Amino acid sequence: MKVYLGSLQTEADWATGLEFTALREYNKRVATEILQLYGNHPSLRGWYFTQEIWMNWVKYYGPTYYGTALMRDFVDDMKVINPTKRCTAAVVFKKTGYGAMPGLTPAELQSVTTGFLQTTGIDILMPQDGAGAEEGAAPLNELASYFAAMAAARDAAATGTVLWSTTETFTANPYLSNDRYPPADVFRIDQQVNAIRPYVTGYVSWIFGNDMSPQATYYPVEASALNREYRSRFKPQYFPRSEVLPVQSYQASPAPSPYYPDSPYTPKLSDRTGGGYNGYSLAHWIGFRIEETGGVVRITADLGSVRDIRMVRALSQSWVVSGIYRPRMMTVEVSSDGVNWTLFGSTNSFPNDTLDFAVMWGEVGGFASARYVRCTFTHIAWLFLSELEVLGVPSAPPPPTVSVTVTPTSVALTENQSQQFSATVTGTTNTAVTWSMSPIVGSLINGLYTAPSYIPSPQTVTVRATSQADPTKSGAGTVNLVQSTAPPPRVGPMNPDQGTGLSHLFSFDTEAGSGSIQWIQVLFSASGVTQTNGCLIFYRTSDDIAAVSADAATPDNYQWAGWAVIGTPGVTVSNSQCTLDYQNSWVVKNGSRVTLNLSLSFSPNWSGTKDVFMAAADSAQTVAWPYVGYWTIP
Amino acid sequence: MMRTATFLLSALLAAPAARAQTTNPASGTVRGIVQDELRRPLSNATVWLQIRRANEKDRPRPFHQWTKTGSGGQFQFSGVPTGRFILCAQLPASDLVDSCQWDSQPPSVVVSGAAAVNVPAINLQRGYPLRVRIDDPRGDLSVQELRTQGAGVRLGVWTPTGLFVPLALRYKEPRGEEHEAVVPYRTPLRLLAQGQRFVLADERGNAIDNRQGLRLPLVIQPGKEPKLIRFEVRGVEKP
Repeated sequence: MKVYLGSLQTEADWATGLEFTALREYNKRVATEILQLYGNHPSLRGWYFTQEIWMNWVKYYGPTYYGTALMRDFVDDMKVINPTKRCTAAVVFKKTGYGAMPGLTPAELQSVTTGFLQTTGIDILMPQDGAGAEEGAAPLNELASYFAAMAAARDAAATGTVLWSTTETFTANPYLSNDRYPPADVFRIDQQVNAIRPYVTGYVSWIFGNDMSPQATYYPVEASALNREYRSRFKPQYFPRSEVLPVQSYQASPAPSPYYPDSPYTPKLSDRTGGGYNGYSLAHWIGFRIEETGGVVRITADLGSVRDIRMVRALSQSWVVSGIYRPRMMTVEVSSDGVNWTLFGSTNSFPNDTLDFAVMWGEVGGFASARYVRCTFTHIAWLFLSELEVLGVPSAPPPPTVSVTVTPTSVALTENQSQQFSATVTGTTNTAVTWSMSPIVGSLINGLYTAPSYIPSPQTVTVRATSQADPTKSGAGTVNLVQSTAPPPRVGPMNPDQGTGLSHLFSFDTEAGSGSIQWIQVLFSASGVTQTNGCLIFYRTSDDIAAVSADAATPDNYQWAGWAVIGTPGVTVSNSQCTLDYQNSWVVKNGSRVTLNLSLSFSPNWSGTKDVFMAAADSAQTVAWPYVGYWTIP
Repeated sequence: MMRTATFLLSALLAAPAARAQTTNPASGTVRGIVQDELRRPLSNATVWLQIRRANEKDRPRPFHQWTKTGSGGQFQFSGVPTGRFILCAQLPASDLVDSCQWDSQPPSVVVSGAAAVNVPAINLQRGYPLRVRIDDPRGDLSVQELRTQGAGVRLGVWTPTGLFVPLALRYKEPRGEEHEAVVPYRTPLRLLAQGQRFVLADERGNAIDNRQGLRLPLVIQPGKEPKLIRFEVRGVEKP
């Protein structure tokens, strides 16, 4: 156990601040005394600053906020007394607020928390996650972003502070009067814990006690069930799952007092009311008076079939001023046939009797397979019982059925359009899926489907998500690909498209039919569409880089003589036929149109008329090697 | 490779009207059909009619047209000037080889006056989608491509006639990108991989010389297609 002792706090301190100085002194004295008495106890880890600082106030009042100074002084004082004991604080943050408690965005929380940590030097910041109180709190689906912000603040502050979460395990039930904070269900708590797991290194649970919220403890049946669920969910290795085996019928011997009889319609020991929800009515209890029982009451219950039994519990009460006492002894026997009985166990370990009303469970644990359970109570004065529970091994649950749903179920896309599909997996904690498509047209990455750049004909693609937990289960959506209607890219004209000279500035015009021009190639050749003994120029629009083909004696030697960015000063690249002057070349990009202006000179040794061909690609299609003109080298 | 064929025929096939890119006063008509290697007609294929020199002395005016095939794979070019033309076709986003890029001897046709020429079927061969992935474990590629003009990876295939077919980007994600080109089977190729401003390594981890690039000889054989070819960006080249 790790114990953090709370600091002193008074109403005057909280409301007016008049006792700050005195409290600071008292806290130091008390801490010193505790350390003298228990300082070496390994459980005593440090101190808990009980003032509930709202980060919303820190935002509103800024760096001079007295609450921040209060905590800073507390931490400083405790460190002076013993620097090894750590100081904790469970601050509050609200997403929405008003007045002096303005709402906080994650970014704002990060900012104010950074300064707050640097000022206070608190060792453990354990913000209340707000999931129970709800009002103004960040919703569960935003909890991660707020804790991520505080984790970032923790890192930025560089104070060595660690971040925990105060997990609110209660729930605000507006339908309950007065204090209305009964325990939360385990599934919500599971969400709270897991939503922020990447950002915190510890959790503290926070639940209302009976003094603050009677609803939290006046539900003995429900509270027991929740307790079992909590334990089996979070520590299953120690607390295997068990369930209440329904009691089909029971008989009491002797019968209850006629003043507090059982109900013939809803037998009280199996009605699951736990005796009702307050201490003022005994309507859900059956009472036995010693004058009629002789101090022994026997309840025989029938489970309807042989079951594996692990525990038998009875809910009784103590209310001494009314003559009601706890059972002195509870003995449990079991039987498969109702005739031959075996001892299951017994207990006299009930809490002490109380003057005022209090409920208490008596529990007997063991291992047995039986249909009948017989509980024998010995008692004095009045014995009151309200519930009989038989816990056992749950009947094997049906194997969870994994199902996968993919959304959207259908979508129509044209070329290059994308659609993010999402998969919802139920029936397993492993929600990972493997994406696939059929036929393989376009691309699919983590559910993001992108249509191909060209769709020659209408087509349907099935996008499928297959459960990794159960590969036999999958869900699917369909993509209806709409046929492309875009024209291919246009190449030409070349300007001039004929002429004579050893050098010239040529322009080559192109226009994308779909998307944008990706690349352009120009070929001057004396022997048709081949690079051999030609001048091939490649230009790529994404980086304005161009290359000139190198001389190649054989196909194995095809290569680029050099690459450079068009317009680069002083750069020329040559082969035996031509030279590209990069500095005096440029590109004009105008929407889907790209005009390549190339300053070319030719070797006199390559005289004669050369045909000029072009090729280009846009985002979807390619046009390859139409003849665009000729040029004569003298 | 397809073989050269020259036709001077008349026919009466219906086909969508063609679009001229460079007009020339003319009145000829060229008709035909595009099909795959199993002789199934290909609809919505793009067919090109490109003028070529008829002889050494010929100096034709530039002229090329494209049209789309109809549902039966048929096409028709109208207003074609007198001259010699080659025909090629492509079905983008398919695994059929673009004959305009790869056929070194495409079928040709001579048009004379107002004659209607009916050409035999253009067969598009099934090719292999050659895919290359650039692994970029540190995300250098996307950062450096934005930061430094000219920085990038050149990927393409040299054809047997020395033409360059760049690989098209299939997709890009933070830790890599994949490129593709449909290439013919049984054809000697050279795959070029060349980094600029990047240290590029092949699958075995051998660094690639940026000045030369890697020129990987390939001949794709049916049933022995290569798996995805991978390169890795190992870092940014020091200036």
